[in-house]
Amino acid sequence: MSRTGRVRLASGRQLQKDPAGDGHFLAGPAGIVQLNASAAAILALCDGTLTRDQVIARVLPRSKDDSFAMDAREFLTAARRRGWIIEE
Amino acid sequence: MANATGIRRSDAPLRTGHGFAEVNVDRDVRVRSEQLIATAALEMDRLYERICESGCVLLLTDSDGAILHEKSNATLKGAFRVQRLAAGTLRSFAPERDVAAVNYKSSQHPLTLEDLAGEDPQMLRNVRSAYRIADSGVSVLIQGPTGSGKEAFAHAMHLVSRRAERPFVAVNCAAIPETLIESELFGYKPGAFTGARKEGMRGKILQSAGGTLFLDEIGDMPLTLQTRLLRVLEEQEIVPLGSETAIKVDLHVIAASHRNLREMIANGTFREDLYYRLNGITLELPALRDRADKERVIHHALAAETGNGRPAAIEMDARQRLVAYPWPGNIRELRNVIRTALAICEGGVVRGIDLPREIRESESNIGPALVALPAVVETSSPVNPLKAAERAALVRVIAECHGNMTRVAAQLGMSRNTLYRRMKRHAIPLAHGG
Repeated sequence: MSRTGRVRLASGRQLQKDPAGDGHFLAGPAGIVQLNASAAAILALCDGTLTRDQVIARVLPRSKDDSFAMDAREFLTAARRRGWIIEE
Repeated sequence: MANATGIRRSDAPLRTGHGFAEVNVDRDVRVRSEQLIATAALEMDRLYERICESGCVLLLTDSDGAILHEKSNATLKGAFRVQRLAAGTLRSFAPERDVAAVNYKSSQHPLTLEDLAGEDPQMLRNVRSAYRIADSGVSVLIQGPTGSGKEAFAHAMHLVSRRAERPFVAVNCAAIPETLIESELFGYKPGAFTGARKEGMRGKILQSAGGTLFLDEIGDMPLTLQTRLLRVLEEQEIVPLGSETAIKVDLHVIAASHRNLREMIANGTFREDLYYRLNGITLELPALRDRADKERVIHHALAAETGNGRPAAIEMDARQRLVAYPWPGNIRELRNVIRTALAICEGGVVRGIDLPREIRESESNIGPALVALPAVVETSSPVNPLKAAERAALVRVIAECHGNMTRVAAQLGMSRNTLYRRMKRHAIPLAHGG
């Protein structure tokens, strides 16, 4: 079976927002992870329709600074290692 | 051309083929550059209902057109918010789904009173007072422990006042050698003293003219200078060192101290008349450990330290430790800890091991409650009367405070960490739960 490289949240993981609308969380079996807005934006795009690079391209600001792409890539790597997301 | 909703319609395409409505956020939706995006997002919700038909997407952009925030009825709706924004433009345009909102603004904006208030009742009271007196000319004294955000609060007050366009000048009286405070504040004429700059110096008081002079740690100001400051405040004019002519100055002072100025008055180290001149109203900033919205403050610190848009997360274990830690250095310490953790963590994910040792090992994680206190010191060594007295004092205060360690620590004037250390040393037991 060929791999598509699309990323999605691992099963049992869910993005949540606190009622005040201020905080973002990733709920999962091991508890709750607090996210900043960028992290939440990235994980929100991990819905199984996009590859990692596509996710990064989507959240990339219209700015010349590409350190964000690197940060986003590292975050996705960490998220995969922590078992939050799965690459299909 | 303005339509009924006050939104300027434009046919200029954002992208080929898509007409859009353009709204000046500054004017129409009243989003100020320093304001939290949460407010902007709320305004976007309202605006969205007003102007958007199905499939519409709203974008919040900065003045360069970079997209800061998107509002749509598609999957991204409510999925995230941006932290803060530059004064920007809000755009809506016809259905198109290949755009995602982006958080990529610097955190260099000064915080607003709303940012600082969070949801803590005492802070909310402070903010209400601050608004009421912002333009009244009443002098303000801010009291609060170190790192609790006294300067940030003073700056935020300055920004909501009529003086916002003029400078906010902060002077930390504790950070300047006593001998230099005078020239720092009052300035000097050329050649006023040996080592003075050839061209003289204007002094912070004059620099702040029309704006706000923030005097931090006013309790550290030498008595002689207190007298001079009082005179400047009363006469609204200043005589620089080495000069004979007085200069008129529109001076507004916000003073702050972590010390108890009333006590200092009692022992003669602070002038009572200056105290009353500065203290039109006292605002007390709570210690971080006493804030009811500690988790929100942590969230904001994370957002502020990743204001450049770097994705970041805090795992539960680390978060629990951050919440439980007593934060003797308050918000400043919290920001430092988060900044450091973000620098050393992997991929922006902060885990317990990324936190400094004192937080990882803080005993306050236990959430202690007292069991019955043994009335007698049970040690095999001979009783040292001083130690016995300390132990007795601890036991008494703990009992008085019904085991509320925060209150005990406050009453004894020590941090909770120190308190726990002392309790351990005196074999005063703690218990879980309760």
